[in-house]
Amino acid sequence: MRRSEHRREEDALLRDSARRFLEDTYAWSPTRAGDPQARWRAMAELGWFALGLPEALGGIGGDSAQCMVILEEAGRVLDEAPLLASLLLAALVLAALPLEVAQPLADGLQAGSVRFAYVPDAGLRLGEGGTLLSGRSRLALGIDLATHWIVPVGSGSANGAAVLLLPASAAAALDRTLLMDGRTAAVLSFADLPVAPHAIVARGEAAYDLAALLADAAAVGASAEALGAADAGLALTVSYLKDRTQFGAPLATFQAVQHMMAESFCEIAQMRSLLMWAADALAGPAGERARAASALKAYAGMQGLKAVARCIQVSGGIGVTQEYRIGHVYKRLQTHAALFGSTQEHLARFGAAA
Amino acid sequence: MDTFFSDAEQAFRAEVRAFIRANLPADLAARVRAGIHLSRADMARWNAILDAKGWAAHHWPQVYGGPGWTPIQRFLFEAECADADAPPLSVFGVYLVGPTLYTFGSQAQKEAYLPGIRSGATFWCQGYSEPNAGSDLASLKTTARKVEGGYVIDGAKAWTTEGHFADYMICLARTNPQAKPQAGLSLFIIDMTAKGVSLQPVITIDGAHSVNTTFLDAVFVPDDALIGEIDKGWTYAKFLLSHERTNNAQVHRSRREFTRLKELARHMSGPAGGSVLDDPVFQRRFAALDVELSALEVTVLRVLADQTDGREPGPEASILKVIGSELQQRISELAMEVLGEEGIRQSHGEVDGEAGAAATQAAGWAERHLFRRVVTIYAGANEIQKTIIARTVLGM
Repeated sequence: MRRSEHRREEDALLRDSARRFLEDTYAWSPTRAGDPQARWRAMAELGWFALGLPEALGGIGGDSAQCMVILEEAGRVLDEAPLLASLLLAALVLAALPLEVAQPLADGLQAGSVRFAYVPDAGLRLGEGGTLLSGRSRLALGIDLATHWIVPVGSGSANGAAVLLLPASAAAALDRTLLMDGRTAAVLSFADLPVAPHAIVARGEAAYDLAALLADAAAVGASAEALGAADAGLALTVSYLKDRTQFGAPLATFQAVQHMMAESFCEIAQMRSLLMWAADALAGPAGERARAASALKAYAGMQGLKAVARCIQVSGGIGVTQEYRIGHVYKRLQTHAALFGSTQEHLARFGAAA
Repeated sequence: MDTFFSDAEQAFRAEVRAFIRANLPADLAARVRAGIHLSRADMARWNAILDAKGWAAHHWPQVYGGPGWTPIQRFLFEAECADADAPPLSVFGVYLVGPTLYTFGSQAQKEAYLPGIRSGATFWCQGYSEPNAGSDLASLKTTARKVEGGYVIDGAKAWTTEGHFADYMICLARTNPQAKPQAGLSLFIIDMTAKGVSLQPVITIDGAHSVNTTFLDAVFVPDDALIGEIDKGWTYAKFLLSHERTNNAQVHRSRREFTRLKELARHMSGPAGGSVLDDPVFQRRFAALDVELSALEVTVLRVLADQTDGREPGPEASILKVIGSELQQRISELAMEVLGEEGIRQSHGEVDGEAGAAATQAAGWAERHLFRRVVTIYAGANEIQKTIIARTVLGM
């Protein structure tokens, strides 16, 4: 929020360069295609994966707000790259590892050769004295591109909690699916997978805290993408309304339509405020961090979605076609409303913490 | 929202809190909780207490008696005042007329009027709207005609809040009928005891008298009652409306009311046996409202951060009034649902326990609920605000 002028300038430069890159190479179209590996390497060359890494690991020590800039910009073009885990969560995991383990991973991350996926916990557990992994995850993004999986286990309580970093070659049954917004995701199942001691990033209290931090960061990062998508969706819609003439006048001149877009603008501005709070709070005490993350996630799932639904409404018939972008924005927000804790889960958590 | 405040700011907040705790009379706080309209005496009393500490005109420049706080300090001060149920400062005197005078007024006007506003000794009302010029303010008809030694003002002003106990009115009148609607307006100071000033009470939907219609029949004002230059009134009025935009959000009062409502809900029986607050449906509704209120708090802070750093206000400044007023209404709407039958009773028998708590608070909530319909209408109806957002921010 109260960023120095220097930081603001840095943010703006970063935003500009990310936007140029994304729009030049991956502007949304119904038929766009890209080679995920090649795009990932290009992003690594831009230095994106160094942003969140501390200087001790060779990163540039940027704060989470700069990672949010990238995620928001990726959201604008509805990028499918599973950036969240590598951009935002990886640094949190690496910080919990001994330097000699973390350093090669950090180097690989920055080079684009190490890629992370976040595998949210839905009843995973470590049995047999804490060495055999069993159970199912929630939907995880980017499994096919990842070289490493971040796997929180037993995160419901400090007793038996662990955070694992597994190689993507680990034996897991993958229930793959296409999501509503066209991205691939998978539910991972493990059946008594032996876990090597060095794969365990944290156990007990420390793991419980780290898992909570990862979950909050994922909720915030996903909402940053949703914000970018919604903001670009509003801009697209307003520009369409200026061009489209009906009843002898541009639609943008009709007051009923103007008011609907003003309402969407208000909601998107409020969503941005919550993102600023949540991004700032990520580095602070767990209580406020969780509250801010849940506020943002719930708001994005309610008013964010509503703001985009209004854009579909004023776009008329083309708004519901597969050819036109606004419907895809809606699908991205709908997808993010369900991932990383549903709107209702976050609302309940926010209410309980108040 | 501690993450946004430095240690020094937290310490400042604690200092403010301690001062209020030691100096806010309990009976005043109780009357703030009980209803929405306060007497002049109540407002003046708190104003004087703050003035003695040098905190009354807290957003004024130091040269005019302000404490020299940053926008964030003002935010924290207002939050603490609201949190302690302190009476609000006069919107017209402290927020509107004071800044108008120190920005555009003459040295003599500053000396004559600023001290009284700061101390709470004098009260002001606003004479902008008219029976046929509400949100369409530029079409106002009240005229000020130049005569020897001053001006003669004729017309009628509508929605004169607190006019019946104000000492002065800041009045927008047409001085050049030939100019375009916005161009020929000027700002005047009218002494409410002047010959030709008369008031008619307007009883609002909550049954209370806080607003009036003011008739100005050949009211003579001297030359030095003109603020700034002739025909510049519209520019001055607009400058001020944008000046105190964050005040429009009323975010601190809303936060306090939300907290009080939750407290009430905790003590009332819910539909399924436990308290209202234990009811899952109410819980989610409280949470959803709290999320939106939190977002508004951050939006206000964003605007203040820009002010602090001397940047132009970003587009988010334009949403404060729309969102802030809607949230004020939604809080009181939820209050009526929490209160159920207690909320619609105009009188309550002798009761204690849970019913007693509800009974003591019900009238205040009902009054606020009804009167709050006004907040989406005044200060530029929300439809006007949305049109402004669409046109100026979105370029539609």
